[in-house]
Amino acid sequence: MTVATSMIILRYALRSWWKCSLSIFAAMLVSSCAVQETASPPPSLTGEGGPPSVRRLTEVQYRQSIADIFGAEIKIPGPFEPDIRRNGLLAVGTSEVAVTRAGFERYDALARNIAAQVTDKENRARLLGCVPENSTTADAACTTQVLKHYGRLLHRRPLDPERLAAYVQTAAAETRRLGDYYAGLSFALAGMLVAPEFLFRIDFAEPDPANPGRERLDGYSKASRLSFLLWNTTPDDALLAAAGRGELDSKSGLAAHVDRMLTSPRLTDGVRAFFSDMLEFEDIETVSKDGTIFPRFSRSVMNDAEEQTLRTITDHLISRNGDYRDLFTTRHTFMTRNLGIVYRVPVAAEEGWEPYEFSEDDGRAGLMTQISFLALHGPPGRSSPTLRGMAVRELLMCQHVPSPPGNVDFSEFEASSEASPVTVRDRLTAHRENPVCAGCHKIMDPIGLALENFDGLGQYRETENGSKIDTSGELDGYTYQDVTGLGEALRESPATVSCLVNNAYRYAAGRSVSNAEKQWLNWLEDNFAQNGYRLPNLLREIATSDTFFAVSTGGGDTNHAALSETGAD
Amino acid sequence: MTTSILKSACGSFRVYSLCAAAAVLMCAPMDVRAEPSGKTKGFVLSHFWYAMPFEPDDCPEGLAVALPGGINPPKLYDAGREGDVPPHLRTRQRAVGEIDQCKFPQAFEDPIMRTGKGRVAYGLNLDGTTSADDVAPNTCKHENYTGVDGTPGVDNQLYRVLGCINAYRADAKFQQHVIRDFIASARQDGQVTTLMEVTGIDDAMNDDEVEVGFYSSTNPTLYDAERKGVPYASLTVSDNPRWQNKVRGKIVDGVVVTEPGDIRLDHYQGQALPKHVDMYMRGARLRLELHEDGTATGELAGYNDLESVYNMEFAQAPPVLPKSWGYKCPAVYEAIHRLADGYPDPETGKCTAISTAYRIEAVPAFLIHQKDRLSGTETASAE
Amino acid sequence: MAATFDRRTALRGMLSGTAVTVALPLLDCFLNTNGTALAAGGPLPVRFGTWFWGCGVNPQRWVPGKVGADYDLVEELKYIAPFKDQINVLSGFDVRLDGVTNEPHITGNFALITGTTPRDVNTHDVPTLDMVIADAVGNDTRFRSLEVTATGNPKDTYSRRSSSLVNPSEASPAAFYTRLFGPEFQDPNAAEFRPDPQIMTRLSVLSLVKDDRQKLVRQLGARDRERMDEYFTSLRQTEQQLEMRLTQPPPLEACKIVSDAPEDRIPEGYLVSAVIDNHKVMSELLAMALACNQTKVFNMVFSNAFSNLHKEGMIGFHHGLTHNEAYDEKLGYQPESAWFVERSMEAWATFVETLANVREGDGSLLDNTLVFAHSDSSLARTHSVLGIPMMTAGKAGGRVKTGYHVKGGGDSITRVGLTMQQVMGVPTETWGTGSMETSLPVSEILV
Repeated sequence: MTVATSMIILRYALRSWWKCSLSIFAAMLVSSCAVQETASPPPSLTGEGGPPSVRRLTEVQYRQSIADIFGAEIKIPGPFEPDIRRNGLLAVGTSEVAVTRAGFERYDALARNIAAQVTDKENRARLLGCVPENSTTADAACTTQVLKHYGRLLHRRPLDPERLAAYVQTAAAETRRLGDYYAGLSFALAGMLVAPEFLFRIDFAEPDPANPGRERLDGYSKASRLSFLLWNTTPDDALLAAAGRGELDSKSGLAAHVDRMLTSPRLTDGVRAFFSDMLEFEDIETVSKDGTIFPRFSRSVMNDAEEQTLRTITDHLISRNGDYRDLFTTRHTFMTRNLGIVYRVPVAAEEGWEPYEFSEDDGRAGLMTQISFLALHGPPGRSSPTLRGMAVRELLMCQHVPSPPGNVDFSEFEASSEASPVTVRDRLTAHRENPVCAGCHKIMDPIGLALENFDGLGQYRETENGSKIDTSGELDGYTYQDVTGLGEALRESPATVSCLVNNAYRYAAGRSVSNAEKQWLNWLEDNFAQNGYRLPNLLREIATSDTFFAVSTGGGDTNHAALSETGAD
Repeated sequence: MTTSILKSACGSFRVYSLCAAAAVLMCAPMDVRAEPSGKTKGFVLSHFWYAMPFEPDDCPEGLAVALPGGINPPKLYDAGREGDVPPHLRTRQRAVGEIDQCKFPQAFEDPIMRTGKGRVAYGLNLDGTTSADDVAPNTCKHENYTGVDGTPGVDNQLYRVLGCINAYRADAKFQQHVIRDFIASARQDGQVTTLMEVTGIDDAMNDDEVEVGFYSSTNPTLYDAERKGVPYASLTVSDNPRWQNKVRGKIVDGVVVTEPGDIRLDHYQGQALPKHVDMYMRGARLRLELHEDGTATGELAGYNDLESVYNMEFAQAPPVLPKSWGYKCPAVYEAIHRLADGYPDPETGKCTAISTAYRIEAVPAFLIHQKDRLSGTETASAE
Repeated sequence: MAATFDRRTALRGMLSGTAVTVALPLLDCFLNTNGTALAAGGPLPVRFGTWFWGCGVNPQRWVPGKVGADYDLVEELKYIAPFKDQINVLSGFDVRLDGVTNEPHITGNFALITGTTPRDVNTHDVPTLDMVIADAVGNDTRFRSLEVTATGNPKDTYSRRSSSLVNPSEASPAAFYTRLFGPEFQDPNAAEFRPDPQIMTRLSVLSLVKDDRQKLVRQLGARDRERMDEYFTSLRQTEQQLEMRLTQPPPLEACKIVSDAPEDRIPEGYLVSAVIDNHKVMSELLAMALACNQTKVFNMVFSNAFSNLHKEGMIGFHHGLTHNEAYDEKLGYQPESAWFVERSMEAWATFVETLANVREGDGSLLDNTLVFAHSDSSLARTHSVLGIPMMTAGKAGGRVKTGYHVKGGGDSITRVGLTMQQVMGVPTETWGTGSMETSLPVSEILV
């Protein structure tokens, strides 16, 4: 089962990052208290954003881009080259991955498949906008029109005239070779689809008129950053047009477009992508439970569980413009009949989703009591307080839990399991009493034990092997009796808030935070708090900030090296 | 758990005051007597079929026979009794040379069916008598069984018919259990769904007054990979007015027992007999054990209306099936009428219903009542 | 195969896919007496592959007592009995941590396959053994290497060029079949050779994509320029594969593909019975890919390093068992965990058998292959990286002796990786870094 594996792998992924970022968090925690008096305006940062970034499209971004450009009718047969998680986020991984040989093979096959669909009999009338004089010979005018239009959308900026001419020439030559206008056009389109300008979001810098001698991102690079951050897809025509007119280079123009995007229903896609990344939802598709122990487990339950959490989040944060911290205590969610069986609640709607609110005595409140979280973080046959506790620490609080020492001797642990303990809490006592284990387990196990009213799949239970389950515990000095208390402790924890702000910025930038940005992040966190912890507000601050668009070129290499040395990586 | 469910379900509509009203409404009197308040337990039936012990001595004369070879000649014609053939069949009979025996069983005279004469059966003592000679009011004379648990005077006349048909028996050589399997797969395929709801429970062990509802649903019954019913599914109660049944009852030591009541439910047998027909049971009594894990098992015993039982089991059978399943429609038709023991026709004195017993296995479920759903809230029940 | 290829000439000559008929039935008389080479000159290809299983063994039940030829088979090794003559057992070779923390199941494995103990596997940019060998021998086949997992999870792979270039595993039998033998497959034994004109079109499009890229990379940081280089390297490799398809491949007697794709039963939840079945299907496809010379390098993952193998009704999985299962004092091991080790060895025997069953020349496919089997740790319970179990199977076209048990006596495990490279013709004298640097191959198994 992959969950445990990926958790463990994540642990290693986070390790080096943590070694350096412990200090960051400490600094952030301290400063978030100290900086209270300094409200607005944000500290100004000039050109400390690192070199122009190159980020590979995620599978979702690829799919959404194709759907936006060519329509949802175009089928996109996988598989894709897997995305890679770095420092806790796939978004950070997008700045590190390249394309393997096998991966190129996959992208190449996808490109040809999509291009063939775009130009086939079924779609060409809708998508091409012109008809060649003769379907077996080249037609430069029509080809130029089609490739100019889609080149701009696919590569997220207008094609250079020379590149466009090269694509048109290739289409003509291949039309001649294959004796089919649409085949030639299709292969030229396939070239655009496998080109690095499509597969990667490549920033371009230009001289900054406001700061002679420095550079800034050009408008199209800004449009891409905005669109993938807020909508998780390629910029639409309006945004590209605005970039072309230079509107994104002015504060007011930028603000207007950010507002347009924040009020669009597509913001939901952006927020879903962010939380899917933060909550490691890519692992849901491979999570598996033993059917003999959890007969209610199924692929469709897990799919619904993922959707439920994303709906809960977007409903709360966007539709209700709610306080982020309330996600740890909210009883409001959405249900399908499929999920109702596992949650043991009635669902009136025969098909689809309906809103649902747990009652106080249902024992469920907060995201960590939803099946997506409970089932994802555990082995196939039982619950694991340790893995759940680790997930709360690492995913929701951005705190690193070190991995067990390589030479750990489990015999003591086994000796205690021979005494046939009744509950998991009894078993884990051995962890906490052994000083080698206790250091780490005491920060994980109490959190996970508060979730022990939910079995490995997330079904409610009050007893384990006939004994009543004790869910009391303590989180960083806050004691609680049950999971509701744990939710309140998480809600009040400064770590959950700074984790969200930190993750949101790293997600936006696709890289770790540089030293120069830390002060700004502190300000951002304050601003988040002062505005009632509203996510759209946080996204607006990021998307309209100088920091988000800051770029340092020329000395790009040294800057990048500096990033690593300052410990942000 | 029910109160909290109700609360939360209502909460989801964010109309708390309306919701409270709806909750009261649900508990408001539905007929003249006071509606019991309290908790509700809903169930979906994962198994619902005749309870039959299959003893070796059930049919001392042997199982019922289905004559081999072709179609029986229309005996009425042979006997020169054309006048007894239903008029609309006369031309068809002449043209085709045969009549569908199962649709028109009365058109034939067959040898008497071999029926059961065993000693033990499932069921209840419905008429209160323990001797064939003691004929209770509103019954017809019949032999009694001893219950599998030793209860004297058990009435289960239908077992004398079904228990001697090859395809109904678990121990038959040829078509062992085929009917049960058809029914089971129809249920598993979601073709027929039966719901049950115990309302007004103040004390799940002992309660003087509860009400039990029996309903049908068009939502499929969910089964897991091991063909066990999936608990805690939400199922919408059909709003077909024919399938709304409520009977009074009580709980004694964790067992729900109801007073006699008439129950009409959707029935579907599956591929072989492809039409939905109503199951109509009169004077039905439930005996249901509530288990700690939320499931329930028990018996539903009463008098199956003869027309209903014939339609459910036999009327739709195409000509080839009775031969393979081991019965002949005219003989069966005659047998159920001969053995009928309840609800005599006031004019003819002939009984119109036949005693029987069903085995019930149920898992907890949330019943969504449609009329409530349409009005913006739902009442749901499980534990 | 032609070592050099003038694409321009080929494009000119084959513009419309002219048919080139080469009907050459491959008769035994064309083979030399060893069955390792075509008499006409081209030798039968020699292949290299890895076979990986997770969570090691119980050394006392696995390591043969006898060293050298005719070694004895203890409990966990008994499954290889029918192929003992074709398998070498390598015990007692150690990973040296050089002060690096042992990240359980990761450090030992990557040290073994990269020759360098990783400080952090996410920044460990040393290519794995199979990639080094593929660079040397894999350029003249359709696929430079093939990665396959029996587990159903494409993320189960240990083959990588760097931490950002991890080769995904093929997890679906149907997709694997299509990739190998779908429309793009060029049957080496086909009587008539007609290159697909679309290949030329694809080459011209790829050439367009890669041309004139200075502007694209000029302004990027050094690391991003490297990533773009990696992208263009992958593109060039795809071009090379296409170019190869413009010429008639030499006929191969052993290449007999089945016409139907296997049923796509991808294991779910690492259910061991399903993984074993899938492993068999994938192994057969892989064997045919080798016999048809679609690749010379492969990596087969039977179970992942944190072995998630799972038995129906079991609460956890194999990895969990190695830590949680009670140690049986009487037996001296954990019986349930040992069960999984035995299933792994059984699967290894199946893999060897699959290659041995393909007749090639006057020997078998196995004779012309070097399979390197290894795990991530020895006793998983303590994550020991000392004496990680390893085996080789096959004679690599006569370059390797088989049927020996070699005891490393605590020598660096890199001796084995070095041996694999030298057998496969990688020009290297030494391999490994730090205290694992070695120039001493395992000569006991060299011819």
